[in-house]
Amino acid sequence: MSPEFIGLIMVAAMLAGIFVGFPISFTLIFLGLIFGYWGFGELVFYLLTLQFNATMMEQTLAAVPLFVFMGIMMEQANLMERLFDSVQKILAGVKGSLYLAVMFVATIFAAATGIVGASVTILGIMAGKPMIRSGYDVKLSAGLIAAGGTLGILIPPSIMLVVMGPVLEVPVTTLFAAAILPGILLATLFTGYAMLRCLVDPKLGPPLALERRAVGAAALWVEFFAGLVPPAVLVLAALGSIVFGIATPTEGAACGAAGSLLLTLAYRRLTWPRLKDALVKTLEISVLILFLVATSNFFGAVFARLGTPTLLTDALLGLDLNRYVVLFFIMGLIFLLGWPLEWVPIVLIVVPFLLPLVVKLGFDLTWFGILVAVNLQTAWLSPPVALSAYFLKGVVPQWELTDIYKGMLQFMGLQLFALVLIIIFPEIALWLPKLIYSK
Amino acid sequence: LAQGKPVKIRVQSVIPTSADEVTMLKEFAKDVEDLTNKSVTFEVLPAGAVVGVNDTLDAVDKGLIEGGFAWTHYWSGKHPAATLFGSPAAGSGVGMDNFAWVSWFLYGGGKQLYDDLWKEMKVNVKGFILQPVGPEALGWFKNPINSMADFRKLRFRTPPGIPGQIYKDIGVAAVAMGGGDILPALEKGVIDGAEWCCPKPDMTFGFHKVLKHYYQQGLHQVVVNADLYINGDVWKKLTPGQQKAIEVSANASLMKTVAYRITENGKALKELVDKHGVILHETPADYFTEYSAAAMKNFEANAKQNAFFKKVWDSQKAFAETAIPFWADAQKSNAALGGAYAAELKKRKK
Amino acid sequence: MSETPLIADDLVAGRRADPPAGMPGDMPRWMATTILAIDRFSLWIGRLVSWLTLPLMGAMAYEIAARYLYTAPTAWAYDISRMLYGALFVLGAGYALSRGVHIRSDFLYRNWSVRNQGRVDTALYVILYFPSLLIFLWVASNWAWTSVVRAERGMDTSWMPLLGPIKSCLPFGILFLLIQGVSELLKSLYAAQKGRWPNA
Ligand code: NA
Ligand code: NA
Repeated sequence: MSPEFIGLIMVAAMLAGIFVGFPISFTLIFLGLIFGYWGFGELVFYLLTLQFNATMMEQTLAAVPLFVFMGIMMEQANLMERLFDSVQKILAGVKGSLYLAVMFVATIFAAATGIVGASVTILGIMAGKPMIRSGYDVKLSAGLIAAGGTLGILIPPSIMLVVMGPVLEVPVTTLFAAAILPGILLATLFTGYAMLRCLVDPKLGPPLALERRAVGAAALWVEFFAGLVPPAVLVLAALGSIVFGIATPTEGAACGAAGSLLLTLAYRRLTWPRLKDALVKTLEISVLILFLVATSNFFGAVFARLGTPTLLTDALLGLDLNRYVVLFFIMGLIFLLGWPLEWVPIVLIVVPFLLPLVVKLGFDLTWFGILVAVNLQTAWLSPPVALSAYFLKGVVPQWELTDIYKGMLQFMGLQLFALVLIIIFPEIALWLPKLIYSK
Repeated sequence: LAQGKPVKIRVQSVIPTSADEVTMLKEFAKDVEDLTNKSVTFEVLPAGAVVGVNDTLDAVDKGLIEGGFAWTHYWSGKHPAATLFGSPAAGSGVGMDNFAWVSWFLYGGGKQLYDDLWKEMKVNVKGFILQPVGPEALGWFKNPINSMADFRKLRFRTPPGIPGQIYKDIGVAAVAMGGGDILPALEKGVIDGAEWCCPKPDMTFGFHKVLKHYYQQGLHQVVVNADLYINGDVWKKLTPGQQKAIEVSANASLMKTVAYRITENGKALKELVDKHGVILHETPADYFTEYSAAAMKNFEANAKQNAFFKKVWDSQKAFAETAIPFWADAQKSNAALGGAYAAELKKRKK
Repeated sequence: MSETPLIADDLVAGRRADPPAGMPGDMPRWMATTILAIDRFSLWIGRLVSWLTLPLMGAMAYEIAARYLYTAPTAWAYDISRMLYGALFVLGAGYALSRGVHIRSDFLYRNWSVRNQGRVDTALYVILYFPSLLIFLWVASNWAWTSVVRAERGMDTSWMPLLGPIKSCLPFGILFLLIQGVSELLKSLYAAQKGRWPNA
């Protein structure tokens, strides 16, 4: 049997194998070894070691534990509540004011952290109770919180983009710049949708009860600006250090991590158990992502060594389809895989397989990366494996899981709409990097 | 003749397949294929295709890929003497330019020492020097520099290894940085200057979009050699004819690369200056004295620590003692000749 | 407002609660002792390794300050940072296994009976997990050892650090995974027999 064909069987075995439910990393090691041995003998054992070595020495990925640490510190220190409280009071008279407050805080927080779990939990804790008390629609509330939380992975800094940079061989800074406008577009779509629904049916988001409204307007604005300080400090530390030319993206992550540490110290929220807990959780999430980076790099290297990618790319190009038809299939595939899988295996296993094809079709890789990122945000909002739902259910137990699901699906629709917009108008992603990088 | 059992050699390069070095590697491959009636063929794989860039030599050694393509000094971490073959800073401190180095390699005993290098490293490969690509430029700067004092005020991305150590030794703020970070870091001002190679590759890299001050004359990589490694077992299984075809093509590649580079770098430099407003500068004189002296010290230290390093360096010194006085003198004619015409062109332009 | 949220993790919804102090009464004594000893070992390793994030942060912060304020970039920060990061996720892999953190696509798995989950896990640990990792351990140990005895150095910076220490982290990380694997195998065996996870 030709090595290329062994590679095809390997992929089929992988798609079946990971759904058995054993940890994906070990399944990939096992399948890579088996099929690699079949294809090119015991050299595959050495390939496994060398691929782990290459991942361990990939300096850009050192940003992963640092951004994770930053997010967890912020969450543990509860530094966002002041901002949310003041925004909610300032807007109290508006119909659907809590939707506005949630999205405002979600967008700010997305620019200060790179992970989703932190956003969804914080927003759930802060907004869940007031929304229930004010009689807000459960589906719309849950959907908005979950969707707002996913912005953290698109609006820089973003762990997903840090991981995607080396895969696409696009500088992380370029991806960061390209993600800003799509992120704002999504925030606008989410807010607009919620407000429109409220306008049509005011029962979905009634004005706040009188006792929730504040008295002095001046004091309220003071609160508001005081509440803006923690996220502003973090944005300045993490993104500012990169934008103002002090640090590379990886170093920017270290600035953000150090910033979060100093911030919790300044607000006297830093305790010994909290620091230890944050470090341990950082380790857990980092291992989850990075160990899978290493194993899927190995799996991909076996695939490449078998020669299958070249074969597949040539075969697909031989069909002579319009390149946008191929793009449609690629996006459809990623969207479908996003239902059962999370973004990590998709970025690391699926995207590299598609990459040679995308390159040969002549698509801009920065643009493609953003399409994948927006597409993959839906992976957080697609039941049954929709982690945002579990986070939310964890902090707002009163909400039914089915209602949360139904709410999330509406916002998933909005994300797909944004995806189509970015495909039709590539400038949404490409205008800002061009502006910054070609003076 | 040179025919034998068909062999396909997959060569993973440490640079993207769009790079100029790969263009010349493919010409070499074509020569071998033609000479062997296609019984030896090459496939060039991009950097990272099977293993990471830094693991390329290990992968060839073990036979994961049949071939690898890099510069000899990429493997200085495995043996310090690799730098004397790949990028002997300041011409090994004994005045060798890239032509003189090739002369040492072909007729001064260098080839035997080059074969010994792989044995010293204990890797099972057969190597071929293919592409002398020196001299490389000093680099790109945000603002002009007029002396070493100016240079020392700047954060400068240097090459790794010994050439970079020498920069540190003369007090330059040498920044270590991955290739992908360099351009964004220059754009943002994280660093103030950087070096990569020479006009054509530098233009491909895109330095001129960010920096305008370009210094051609530098010493850190005045000699640079790209080479090919073939797994030892694969090499031994080739017929004598096939082996000869590869050796002959490798030798041809030496001259072809020099010729190709003059043409391509010339075109690129013209485009950089005429189209992109790049300003060329003369390198400050104190750079040469300081860098040479520091290089000498670094080599002496290495020679003291490592016997094989000393052996190679001694061979280069012995060669240089007789060859360099002649070659330096002859070079004066070349420089005067070319300089006269370049000056004439400059005058006409005004 | 609750002081500490329940879930801080991005992807670790299936993460286990803190390790229990004991094992169920109907578990054989040797099994319980082994599981608890191994889990304690991994927890200890995990807590130790988790501190690497702080020097990782510190090294890069120092580099930025030295470079930006004093134009005196370090030769070592780039290498040190990636070595710490590499050590972090490789040495922490065994601990992560003990907490059920390695991601599963479990939308089918979670609907099976515990007995079936235990059976499948037992089979896969025996057929898939241990053989792959034992081979991996063997090859990675030889590879790291070669680097140590040849005093191999890095070539990406002018610092040129010895690579032996970071390369040695890989076989140790695999060893920690193998040790924790024994505990996980025993837990799966128990679940297959009794229809309950011992640490649920
Ligand atoms: Na973010
Ligand atoms: Na999903």
